[in-house]
Amino acid sequence: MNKNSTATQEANVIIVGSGIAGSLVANMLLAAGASNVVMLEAGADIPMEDHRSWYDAISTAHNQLPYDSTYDLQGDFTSSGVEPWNIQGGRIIGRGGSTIHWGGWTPRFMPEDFCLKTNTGLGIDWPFAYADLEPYYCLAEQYLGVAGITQEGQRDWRSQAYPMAGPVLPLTAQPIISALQQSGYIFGNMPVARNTVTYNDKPQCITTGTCYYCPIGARFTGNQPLDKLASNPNFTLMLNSPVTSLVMGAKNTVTGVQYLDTTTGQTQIMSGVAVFLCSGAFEIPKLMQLSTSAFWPDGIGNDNDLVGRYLVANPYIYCSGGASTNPELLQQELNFPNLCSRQWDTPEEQATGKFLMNMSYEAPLVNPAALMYEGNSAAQIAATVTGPFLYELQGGISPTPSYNNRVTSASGTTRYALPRTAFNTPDEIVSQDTINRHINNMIQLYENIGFTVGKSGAYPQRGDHASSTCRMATTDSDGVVDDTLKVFGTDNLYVASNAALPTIGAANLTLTLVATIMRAMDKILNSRPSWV
Amino acid sequence: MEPDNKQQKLLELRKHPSYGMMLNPLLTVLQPTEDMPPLPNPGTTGSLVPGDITTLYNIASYTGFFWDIPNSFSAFTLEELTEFVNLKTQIQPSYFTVYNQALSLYQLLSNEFGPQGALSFLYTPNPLYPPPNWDAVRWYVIQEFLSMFITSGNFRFYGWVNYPGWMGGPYNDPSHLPYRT
Ligand SMILES: Cc1cc2nc3c(=O)[nH]c(=O)nc-3n(C[C@H](O)[C@H](O)[C@H](O)COP(=O)(O)OP(=O)(O)OC[C@H]3O[C@@H](n4cnc5c(N)ncnc54)[C@H](O)[C@@H]3O)c2cc1C
Repeated sequence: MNKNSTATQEANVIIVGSGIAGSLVANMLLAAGASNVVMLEAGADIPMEDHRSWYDAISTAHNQLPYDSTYDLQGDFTSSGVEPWNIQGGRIIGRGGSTIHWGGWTPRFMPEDFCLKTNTGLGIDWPFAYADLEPYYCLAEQYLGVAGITQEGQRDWRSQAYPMAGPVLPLTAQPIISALQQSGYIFGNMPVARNTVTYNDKPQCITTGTCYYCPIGARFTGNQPLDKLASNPNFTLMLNSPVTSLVMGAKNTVTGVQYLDTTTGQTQIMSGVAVFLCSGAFEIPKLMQLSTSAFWPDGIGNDNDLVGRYLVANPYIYCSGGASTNPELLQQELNFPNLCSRQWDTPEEQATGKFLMNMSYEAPLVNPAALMYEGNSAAQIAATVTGPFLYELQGGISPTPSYNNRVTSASGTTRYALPRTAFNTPDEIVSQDTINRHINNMIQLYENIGFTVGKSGAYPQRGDHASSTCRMATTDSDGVVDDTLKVFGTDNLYVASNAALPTIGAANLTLTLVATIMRAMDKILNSRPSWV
Repeated sequence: MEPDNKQQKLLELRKHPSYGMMLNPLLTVLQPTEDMPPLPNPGTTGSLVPGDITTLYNIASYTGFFWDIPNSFSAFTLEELTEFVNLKTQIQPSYFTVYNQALSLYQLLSNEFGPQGALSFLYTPNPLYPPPNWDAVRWYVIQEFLSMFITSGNFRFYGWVNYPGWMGGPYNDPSHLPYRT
């Protein structure tokens, strides 16, 4: 067949994107008896639990990782507005999606995060409350394998214990714990999707401290559900197959997708009875906007010009502080997240920006190999180990959604044949006052323990937690999808993604995404659609 | 001028002192801020013979001697290095060429200064007169061996009980907490 020619293939259900959202949808559909589920993924395979990749990760000068080459390049996007976004080093285009390199932090949203509008007049309320999602939070924690420690009276109340107990806090946490205690502040373990015992057929963590590439798969990553689905005869994963448009048979009916086989250059049509868009908070709105037709002249679901709007992510701030001597040799011996405080993740802070603070797991850290490489002796390095050291406190702030902040396509395509991305964020999603307030909270902690305060500020917005670009609402005048994640005005097109989250809190969002998809899939499957 | 003469002229082979300063920072050629050269011939895979792997092991082991860090902390054994080297040479991007460059360089220096002198030179050549292929060898061989030396147990020399890259052990086992609490 010639380049650019079109062939047609048939699926029952089409899933666009192989990240955690796509594989969860596939899992639930297949468990319910669906047949011929086809997943199209723009990127290629990424070797995981691979010994060579592991050696490269720990030995090469730049800690080379097998997914480095999948990141967005500077030319893949344009950014304008307040604090222009720079997504390089953020999302992964490849089998398994961005949770291939996520931190695995899995806190729940707080109850007030579901009613921002009611509490503050800003944004929108979720169509359901924390209590409705709570059973699914429990299931999501089991699915991801979350280890955590229940706190007395925690406001993100739980009906079931964490699937696994969390680890004991390390010595490095002690100074910050003492600082928090002096102010009477709450603190605890950051729940993480990392096995403290063998769980879900995956081994117990052996604390290599390289969670960005676990050599044994003890942290949940997006490839794992796909590995389990690989032998299912009702499931097909097609890599190197970016979907370029959605095909509508009628205003309310999607009949398939058009995709490009990037290995051959052939454009193909895949017909399907239902389509789930699971390609992330940037690509989904772009795909819907670009899929214009007589039925949807402004793009699918976009009659009210809401697709791609309300783009938000958590602003991430930091403040360093330390002391001149380190007699206890404090060093991040775990190198993964542990101590956090939700002291400021409260309804009182909601109007201006809640804050979930954590202790960086990358500082203090002395790298003797680098010092040796620079020509230092063992004695000099030993002196460095007990010398001045710096901690970093950091954390995410809940953002304020704005209609004007938007993601669309720019002209041209990326090396994955995806349209280039245009970010336009004219409105701030958190004020400098709020950033300063939370930096001052961190400064106060350092002062409690006599640490000298170092640098502080906000990291550039990388969009790790980008969301709300096809937000869920009760009516199409407020959002793009309903509470079953179905696009308003259609019968068989769904958005299973952070794009559908109406608002986000200060907490990392993926656990909430998984719970939200589980809840929606339950409703969809209970309605017994013809395609299952 | 012959490269060897250059090296001989400028070589400052120092005696190995007891615990303490070994590298004169002014003389070190390990300048990590420089741009990394590309890995030579990454598409050429191959297997090194055991004798060559043992030579690389001697080069890697010299780290402990050079920095006066007792070898008792290290788990970077000949067996582990053999696995490391095989994975690096047999799979792309392959280190087959750069390891052979390191071996040739070692041979060249051994002929000139003897095996011990060659090892010492590898860790302290003069930046103004780098030996052949030095750029690639220092980035892809010496630098990586240093990293493996630390992560494979020698971090304990500094009083820590775990370090990124060290397979410490199950962290829920109270008898084997891989960090201090
Ligand atoms: C560095 C980093 C760290 C993070 N850490 C955390 C954390 O600790 N805790 C937390 O809760 N969250 C974290 N996140 C967020 C988390 O990764 C996301 O919430 C999660 O990946 C979303 O899953 P998804 O399946 O919706 O999208 P993705 O994981 O982005 O997967 C989307 C998939 O779709 C594919 N795709 C895109 N367009 C197309 C197309 N047109 N056709 C076919 N395929 C397409 C992509 O290649 C990708 O594989 C982190 C994110 C980043 C970037």
